[in-house]
Amino acid sequence: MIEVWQHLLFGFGVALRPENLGLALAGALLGTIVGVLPGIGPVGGIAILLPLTFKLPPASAMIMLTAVYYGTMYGGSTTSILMNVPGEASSVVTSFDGYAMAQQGRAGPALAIAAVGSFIAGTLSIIALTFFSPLLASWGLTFGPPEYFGLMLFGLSAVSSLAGDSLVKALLSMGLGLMLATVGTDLVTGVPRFTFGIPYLLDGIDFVVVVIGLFAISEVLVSIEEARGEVRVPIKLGRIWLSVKDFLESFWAIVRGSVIGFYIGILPAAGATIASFLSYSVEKQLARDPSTFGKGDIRGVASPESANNAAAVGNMIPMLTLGIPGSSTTALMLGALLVLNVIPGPLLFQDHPDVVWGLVASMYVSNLILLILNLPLVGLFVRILYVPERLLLPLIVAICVIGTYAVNFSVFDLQVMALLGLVAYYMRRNDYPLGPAILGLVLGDLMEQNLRRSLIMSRTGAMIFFTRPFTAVLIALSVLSILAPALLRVLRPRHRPA
Amino acid sequence: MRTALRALLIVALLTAFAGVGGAGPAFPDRPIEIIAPAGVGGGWDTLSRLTARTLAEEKLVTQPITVANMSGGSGAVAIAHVVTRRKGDAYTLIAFSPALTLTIVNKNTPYAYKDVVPITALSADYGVLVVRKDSAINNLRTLMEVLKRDPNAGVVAGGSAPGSLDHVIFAKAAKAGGVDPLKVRYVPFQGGGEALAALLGGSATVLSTGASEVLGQLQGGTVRVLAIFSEQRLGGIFRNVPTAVEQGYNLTFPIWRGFYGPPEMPAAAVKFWEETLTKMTKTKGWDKVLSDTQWFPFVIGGDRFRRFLDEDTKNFETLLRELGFVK
Repeated sequence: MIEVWQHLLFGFGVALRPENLGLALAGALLGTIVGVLPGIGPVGGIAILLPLTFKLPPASAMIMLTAVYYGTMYGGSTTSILMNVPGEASSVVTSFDGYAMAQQGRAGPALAIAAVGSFIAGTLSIIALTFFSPLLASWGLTFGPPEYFGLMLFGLSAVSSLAGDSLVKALLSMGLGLMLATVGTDLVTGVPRFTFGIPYLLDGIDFVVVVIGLFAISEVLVSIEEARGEVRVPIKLGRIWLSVKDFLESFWAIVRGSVIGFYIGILPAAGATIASFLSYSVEKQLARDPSTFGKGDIRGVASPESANNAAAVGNMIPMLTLGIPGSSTTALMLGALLVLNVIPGPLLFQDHPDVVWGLVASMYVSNLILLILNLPLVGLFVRILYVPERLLLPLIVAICVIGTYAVNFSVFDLQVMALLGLVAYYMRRNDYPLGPAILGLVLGDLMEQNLRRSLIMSRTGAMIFFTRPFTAVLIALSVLSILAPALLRVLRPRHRPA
Repeated sequence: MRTALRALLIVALLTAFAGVGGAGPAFPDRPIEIIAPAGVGGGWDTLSRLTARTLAEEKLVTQPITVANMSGGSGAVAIAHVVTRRKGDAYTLIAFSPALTLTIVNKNTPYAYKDVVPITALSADYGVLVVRKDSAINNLRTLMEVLKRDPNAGVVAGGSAPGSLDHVIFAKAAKAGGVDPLKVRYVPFQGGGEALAALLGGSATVLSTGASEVLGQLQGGTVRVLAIFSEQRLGGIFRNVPTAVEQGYNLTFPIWRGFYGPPEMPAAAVKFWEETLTKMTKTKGWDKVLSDTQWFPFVIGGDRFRRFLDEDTKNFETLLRELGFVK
């Protein structure tokens, strides 16, 4: 233990050097901006900076890239809450209750709890990372394909908590997501599926393109229709700051979101988006009155925002202790290290303590920087709601187009985005929830791959799912989670007619 | 729009020829674009950026060089773009490797090497088979014997789909060792990192991948590399890793990386790039790139390179036909 404190102290020595502090601040700022802009997420932000870091010392490069990663997690919620336009896949869930809160004039508290929740979740996770990394990393490795399959199945069962009035519509929406997930080269056979000979489809459809198309474009279309050329009366803004009651109400949601997010983040093949969906679903199922979720419940913002930040930190664990990337973002960081002549692997802690401990210490620092940066921004960002729609909507579209194009520099992606925007417009007009589509897209691919991997590995067929305890528990939980509402209805005594 | 593009193209062509031939200013007289047919951070992207940097730092090219990422289908998107839009362009270089050969052989693109101008290979990584440190399998021969006796004895993990690089590395090794690769369970993962996690976590017994994916693990002593598929033993971190050749197998698998040019690239430009890139590999700056990234020199240019590619493509075709991926 004492050793860890010494290392940490040494790390702060690295992180608090003026140039590294400056880089962390620059990274945090850039990350926030990139996070706020829809379409450009952590991968995009880091990709922009990556060539610049070729010239920095490895520790400084990592400090800057991590600050960007972290900043995007903070910034991602802003447009979700204010405009119902998620900045990235991991803040889709935030829009369910966040946007509803904004509509009720509570945009300020929603943004504030997102920042506070992110800070608490981030800090808790960094503490866990500081002291238990090696232990946690080996736990993450015990997750094989059958466990992932169980987890993804459990994730899909969250659909019941995303459904509005009609479970059937939620399932149809999820079906759309699952179908989109099948497009591209099938990993298990190497055969292209539903690509129609179009090379752009060989790698599948990027999450960002789908998120922007489904949420942002359709939101703009609906807004235009509802405005019908009339000037919108701005939503009355209530108090900007978080009340003590708001905070107490969300406290346990933040803690639970942190724990769920952190553990999912540690798994090399799961990440922030899955974490946000799962923690939201858990929170709703634990709530005494789940009907307030989706209608502006502050816990519905606190929980996914905590989870996605905790997952971002959890992601660093397999990267730092084993040199295994846990997400496309950490894969980029590992690539950066390699170019800087630092070989990421089990010896990273030993051979490059300045990189590892400097990075760990800088995570505490950038977390604080981001909180300080983001709280005053709440007051600024809510003013977006005063921008007239005739200015705001074209601006949103412009940003979406740039963001989507920046993913692969492909016009084809823009066409897919526009098409999905129309599909989502139809869905919104007919009360199909959009969340399940994203859930299906994110989990579908992983669930299918891990199902088939498990079956290839297994010499006992499907029994592999029941002989591994963790998988069996997850499958049982999924079944329970799907059947729970129906069971409760049967078991609970009928309400007496009033 | 289309006519405007065509006009632009004609202008580009004219300037290209003007630049290459004659007594005008020395070629290249315009900014260069290197296309990395994958996202930022991958092998193609790193090669492109480090090449651009070294060419500039060693003052071999004074014109600005930009790197553009054009990901999709393991090179399929980029080759389609170059063939249809950049014919005769002397200022574009595109990164490639055996991953593109496999894209071509698997018919995931209608184009082939004859449609573009391969210029030179610069560096290489090599295929490896890896087990956990605590595995009872100590060398390539033991692995092959175990698998020959019972093809179900192990699970092979790789970072890509069957028929693409990681799988083909294993398949080629299995054939050299007298094992039917189709009988051995191969589990594909999304990228080398996930496959490595599966090996370390015990879901797989053998990992088939490129040597650069396991640098850190080899250094940290968590894995054992059964064999590296290079011609001679490599230095650095790999100095204690035996080659397959040493262990009595006729088996090499270089994962070379290099550049090709657009179709009908002017001959003078092809010559310029081949010479300049080869010159670059002899500089101090490139030495540092190789030692930083743990890549190995693999320089073949010009006609020799094109013959090598023909040969390589044919070999992959034969292998994939036997595996049933190519009809």
